[in-house]
Amino acid sequence: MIKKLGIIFLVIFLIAVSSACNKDSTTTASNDKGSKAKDKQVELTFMMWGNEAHQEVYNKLIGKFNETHPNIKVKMESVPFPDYQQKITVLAAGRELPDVGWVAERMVPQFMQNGILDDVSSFKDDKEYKMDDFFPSTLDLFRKDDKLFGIPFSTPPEVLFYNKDLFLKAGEKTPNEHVQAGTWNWEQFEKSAKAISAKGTYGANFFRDWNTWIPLLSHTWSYGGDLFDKNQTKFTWNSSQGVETLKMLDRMMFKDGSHPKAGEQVSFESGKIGMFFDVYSYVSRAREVKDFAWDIAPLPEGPEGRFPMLGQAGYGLFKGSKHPEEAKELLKFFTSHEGISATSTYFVPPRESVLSSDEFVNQPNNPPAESIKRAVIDEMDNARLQAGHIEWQKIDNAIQFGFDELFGQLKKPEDILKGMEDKIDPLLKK
Amino acid sequence: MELKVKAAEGLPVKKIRRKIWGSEAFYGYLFVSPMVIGFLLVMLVPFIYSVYMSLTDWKLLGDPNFIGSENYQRLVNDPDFWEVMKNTLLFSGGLVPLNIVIALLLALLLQRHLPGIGLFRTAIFIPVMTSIVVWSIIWKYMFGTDEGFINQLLDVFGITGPAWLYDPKFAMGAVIVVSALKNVGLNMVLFLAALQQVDKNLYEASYLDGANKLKQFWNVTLPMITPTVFLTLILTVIGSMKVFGQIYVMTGGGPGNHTKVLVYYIWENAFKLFDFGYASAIAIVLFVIILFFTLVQWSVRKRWVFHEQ
Repeated sequence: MIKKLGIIFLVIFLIAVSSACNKDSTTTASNDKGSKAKDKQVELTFMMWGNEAHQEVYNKLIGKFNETHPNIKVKMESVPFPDYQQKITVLAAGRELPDVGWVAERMVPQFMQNGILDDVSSFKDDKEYKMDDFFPSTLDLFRKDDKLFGIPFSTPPEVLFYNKDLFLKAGEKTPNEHVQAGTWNWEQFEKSAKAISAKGTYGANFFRDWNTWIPLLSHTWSYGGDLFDKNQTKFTWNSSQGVETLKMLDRMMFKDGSHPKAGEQVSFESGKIGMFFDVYSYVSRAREVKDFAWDIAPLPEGPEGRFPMLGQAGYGLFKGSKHPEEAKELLKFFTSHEGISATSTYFVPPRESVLSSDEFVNQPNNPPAESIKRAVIDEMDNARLQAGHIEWQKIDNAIQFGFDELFGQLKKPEDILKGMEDKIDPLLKK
Repeated sequence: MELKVKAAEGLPVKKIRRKIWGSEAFYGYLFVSPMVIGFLLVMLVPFIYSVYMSLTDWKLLGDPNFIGSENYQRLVNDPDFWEVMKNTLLFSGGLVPLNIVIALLLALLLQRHLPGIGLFRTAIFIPVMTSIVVWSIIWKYMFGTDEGFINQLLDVFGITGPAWLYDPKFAMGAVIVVSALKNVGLNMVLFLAALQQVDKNLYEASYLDGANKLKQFWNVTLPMITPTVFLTLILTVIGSMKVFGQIYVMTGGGPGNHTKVLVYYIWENAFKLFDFGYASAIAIVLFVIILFFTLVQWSVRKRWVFHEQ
């Protein structure tokens, strides 16, 4: 025990020592470069959480980049998503940050608050770069005052992946048919989910790994409720709309049996889930499905309309880079029309010119073009970004705690939301 | 050694000092130095540093500010911390007796030299060598709510099993059982070794005095193996205090806070909430608790541990 603890302490100790040692070296190093050193060989580190397929896209993209920048070597490192924020934070403490890296919407407030991202607003001065090609809303997350602390590459709205075969077998209208008939609302969603459920198969699933509660917000939004108030000073999910959202989940889990119960490991790919909520990027996994027919549809709507959650991932330029100019070049290339086109194989592009191109829609094994248009492209304007918060981890912990109470049928939805409010309001006031 | 020291007693100080360089003591220190240097570097220095960290508000990013005992005051008023403490004691209270009793029963069962007995001993020891993460992932699937092996088995008998890892009534129990099964093999091997060293003559003598099997176990076997019981007790108690892997993989401290234990809480504060100062304060508390338990066990051992060499 003591030895193990000792090792943990040593690691922490070494981080501290190395951070102290590096403090001076990075500041001096960042002063001695400039345009003169154009031909100098430099190496940049690019960090991401992508899988092998994603890395393949980047290998090609970096190859293209080297045609115009032969002196810049780019080293790609992939860190699993659940560890990513932790890894970046530890690297930042040790002044060992990568030059360029992916950042997800939930990480951005923490990174911006601690000042580890660099300003890239100068990109808009480059006429060829065409900054106005980006949907303005996709840049909101990274904007602070007149500075810009990142560029998005993936802005997928939440869509509904559905198992066509299960609907056919039950003789039910598919979500897309309901959308065309104008009857695709949350009540219908619940009915359809119940109708296609059978022993071992479930009508719908909101969760991945039992902790992604965020798609449920779409339900609250479409009835006019929200998670926080406008200025993020108050938790407002403890409202009639929020109660309805939790009640719906409760009914589906325990009354209709149309939603898996906590602890079940059933995935959409297994064919046992009728409708699955995820961002469009999940399509890279769905394309591999061979055993059943599937499609995508917009989320159900409520009295106030239809509001899919907007996922967001972008690139950040990390501070303390030894080669900030070269890192900027790389970031510029990744987010140029060419770069965004390449990554649109898997990611919903934030550039209008790429989103409307055939290239994005016509990927092998993609859902039909009209479904993509209906569920992704046409929904971009409705999509809402759930902004993170500097205390997001603690907020997420508190909400997760509440869902555990729902899963275990320990408390009523009203009391669960009250419990969340009591824990979260003090965090927002800080 | 003793003789040399005595001989040196009458000599002036300077001469003794010179003598140390070539003496046995010098080589003795030389031989223990790797361990001592290792101890200082790997344990003592980081330990002192973490005591310092526990007095700061270090958030990993930015510089630490000295805030005195604020973290410890916060600890006292943190309801989550007290729940975590309760969970840790609950885990230890469940795991330690379960582990030691099962290990002793298995050892008694498997101590005979029957054909094929090695197979059983190996089977019970294999989990000890398995990675805790692999072990926990497999059990997480076994405890799955609908498709899990355990609930499917119960289904055969017409019983609908609960959501083991998501039900506050069962989650801690499930983790305790999984942890006990993982490490029971190690204690069993220690008990086996101890049982085989018990003098066979004692059994014969007690048999002649009319003791039955149960009395033999109670009055001969158990007293003879108390040093091993003591050893396994200390190891298991300390091990149960530092449980992390199975909690992290199987429940993530949930449902709610019901399986959140001290080390998990340290990890969560340090690496999820990036509150290094507070996490260090909890780590220091954990150190004190373990020290306390070990000292208590050590001081009462004279009363019940026999035949210690």
